[in-house]
Amino acid sequence: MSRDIDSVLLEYDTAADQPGGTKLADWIARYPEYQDDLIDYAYYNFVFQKGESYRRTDAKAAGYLTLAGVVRERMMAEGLYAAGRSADPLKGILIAARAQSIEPPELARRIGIGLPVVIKLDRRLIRPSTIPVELVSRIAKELQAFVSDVSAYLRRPLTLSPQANYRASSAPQVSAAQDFLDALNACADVSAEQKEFWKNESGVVLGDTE
Amino acid sequence: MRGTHALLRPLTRDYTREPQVVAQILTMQGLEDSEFWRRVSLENHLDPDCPFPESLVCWIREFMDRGDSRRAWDVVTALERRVARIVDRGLTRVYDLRQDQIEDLTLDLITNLYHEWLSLEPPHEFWEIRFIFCLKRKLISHVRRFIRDRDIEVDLAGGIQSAADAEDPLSRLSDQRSIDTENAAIANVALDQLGYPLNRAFFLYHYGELTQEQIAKVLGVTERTVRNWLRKAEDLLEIRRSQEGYIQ
Repeated sequence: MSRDIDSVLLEYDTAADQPGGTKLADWIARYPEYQDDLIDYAYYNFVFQKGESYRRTDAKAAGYLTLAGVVRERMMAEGLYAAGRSADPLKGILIAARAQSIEPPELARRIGIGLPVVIKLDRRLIRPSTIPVELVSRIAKELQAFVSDVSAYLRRPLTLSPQANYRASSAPQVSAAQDFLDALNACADVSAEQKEFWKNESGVVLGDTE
Repeated sequence: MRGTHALLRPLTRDYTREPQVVAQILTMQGLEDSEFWRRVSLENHLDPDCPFPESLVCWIREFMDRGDSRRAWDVVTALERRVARIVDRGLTRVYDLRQDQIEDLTLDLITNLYHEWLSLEPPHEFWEIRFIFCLKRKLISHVRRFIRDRDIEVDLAGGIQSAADAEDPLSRLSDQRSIDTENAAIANVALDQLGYPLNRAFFLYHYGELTQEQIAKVLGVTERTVRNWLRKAEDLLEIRRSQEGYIQ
């Protein structure tokens, strides 16, 4: 009875990992119908493990994680695997952080931005279309929140300081929010390395996933 | 959240989950929410609390099965961090890919991975059995498809094919592995740079231990063509050996 390709390749993979390995020629002779798959599997396994890196990781390029964030947001928003709305959406970044016993300075340290930027994010004083997806993922991880909830929170209309006392019949409006990189560059407690990192991450931002 | 639901859907194909994966899933079922998600977010596989990727795929499908796609996606988010390094590193070792091509390939790969992790269909059950094997298979199939498309373009341009057609009488190799240690070291790192089909012929001959006759048969060419390819590959590696400054 003919075996399926997965089980043949898995058996080859297991045998190749044993001390002394295994002879590819024997496998091709045993399963001639899968010779192309066996050859390519063996070849790329070798290249991935022992091959030369032909290029350094381009800091400005979108790597797997950045692209994964884009794909995830899109697939969560629509299609077969779309996620429903949360029954308990994020009430605030700082509120959620404190619920995890994380003080704001510690949150800023963990996600690699300055405290003033964290506070601006919490108040939605940063323009969502300029916020890197990688930053949203980091915030979600620290808050143990859904990435989609964090991005939805950051996209809500901006708010002003709760200490501000406005005598108005409707919620006060602010004319313009700030770009993420501008906020970061204006922040004194962010290192040059961190600024450079986020500058490179700014290629894929929340705006790209809308 | 997790304790009242039957766990571990029976697999419909002739597969069995590893016992340690089953034990881990059952352990995670009894955890408090905060501890469960703490463990899901762990990335260091040396940490004894760090779940196997097979366990995470199982949890993704458990949540999908219950209609809780949001939690399923959170497990996906944790899993993607563990996959990223493997994929990024692997792709840097494939020769002659432009950054935009890498991004296209990666986007296609990710979309495909997410579909298969979230799917409850039997053909995708194997992710719960051998995750790393499945990942390698998936990465190889995407690279192979991409590279084959590229190599066909090269063949049409006449570069490699013309080298195979006319045999250099001085290029005949005896049917024995004569590669020396130094050249073997160069070949290890420069193999993919040879391009298809020289890289396959060289790999099959020196690492797969196939004879020139066997290589001719599997690649569907004459032995003379195989000899020319091997000679050409060694010439290119010799040039490579004499060069300096390639990226380690």
